[in-house]
Amino acid sequence: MNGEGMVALDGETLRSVDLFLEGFYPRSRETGKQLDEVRLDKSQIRGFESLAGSTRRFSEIVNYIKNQAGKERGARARWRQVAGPMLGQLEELEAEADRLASGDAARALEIKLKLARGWVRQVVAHYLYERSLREEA
Amino acid sequence: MEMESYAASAEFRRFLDATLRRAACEAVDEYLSRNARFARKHQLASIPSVVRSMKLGGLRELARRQREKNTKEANQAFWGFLGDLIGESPDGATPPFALSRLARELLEEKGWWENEASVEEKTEKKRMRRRNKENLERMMNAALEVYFEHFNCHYFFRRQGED
Repeated sequence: MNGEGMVALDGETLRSVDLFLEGFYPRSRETGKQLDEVRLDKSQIRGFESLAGSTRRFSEIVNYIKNQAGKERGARARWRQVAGPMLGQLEELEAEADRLASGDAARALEIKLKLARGWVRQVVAHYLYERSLREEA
Repeated sequence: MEMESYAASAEFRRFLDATLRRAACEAVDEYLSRNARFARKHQLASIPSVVRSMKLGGLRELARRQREKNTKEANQAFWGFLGDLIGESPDGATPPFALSRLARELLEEKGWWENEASVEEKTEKKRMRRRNKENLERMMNAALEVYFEHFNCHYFFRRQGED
């Protein structure tokens, strides 16, 4: 155990997390592309990335997306167009974390966060790439 | 393990992260399926600050006051429903997704809920009841903020595009 009851994940688990994220990458790219297609502002995406990097709770990432989609008004429906698929992908990450943790609560929490942060990095990187291509065109 | 140290454990953090999220989402889904007209989103705006500053007692008071002063039936029904999530209904009457029910189940699971039926003596029974009530409030207060974060966000998400 280290600070706040966190556990350090073993090398085998970290490798499994990386492998899973490698396999997930095409879908993260697709999500990043969608975020650019709906014209989400860079500041909003940076806010999302920052939240994912600082939170100690996976569900805060889920709740952030729900909140953004829920508070949009009228025709300005950007998060609303992407929230469903994003939440679906987070559900898959959570299921994978539970599988890898084999019933160990502390490990499940760490793996979930690691997967979610890795996924957010993939999504944001591809969003920025798509955005730069569009701006250059 | 004492209740104070349990609140910092991975098991409890997982309870907040996953079990409470599922329950709070289920509560919102149930409210939306049970009613034809819904509370507007701004009705929920005061919940986080009340929970943070005044904990369970404040939220119970807010639910009671809102139910009484609101003139719209939809809002009254909403605050009545919310009151049930944190209420002290007789055994078995609280829905499975209510915070009060989940907190009590957790206390029972961890051996922190005393069986009042196991003693005959009235004074001891009364003491047990008081200890149970105190422990229930402590457990609910430890989970309150996160439960209503899940609840509000899911409500906003389900009511997206609406006021």
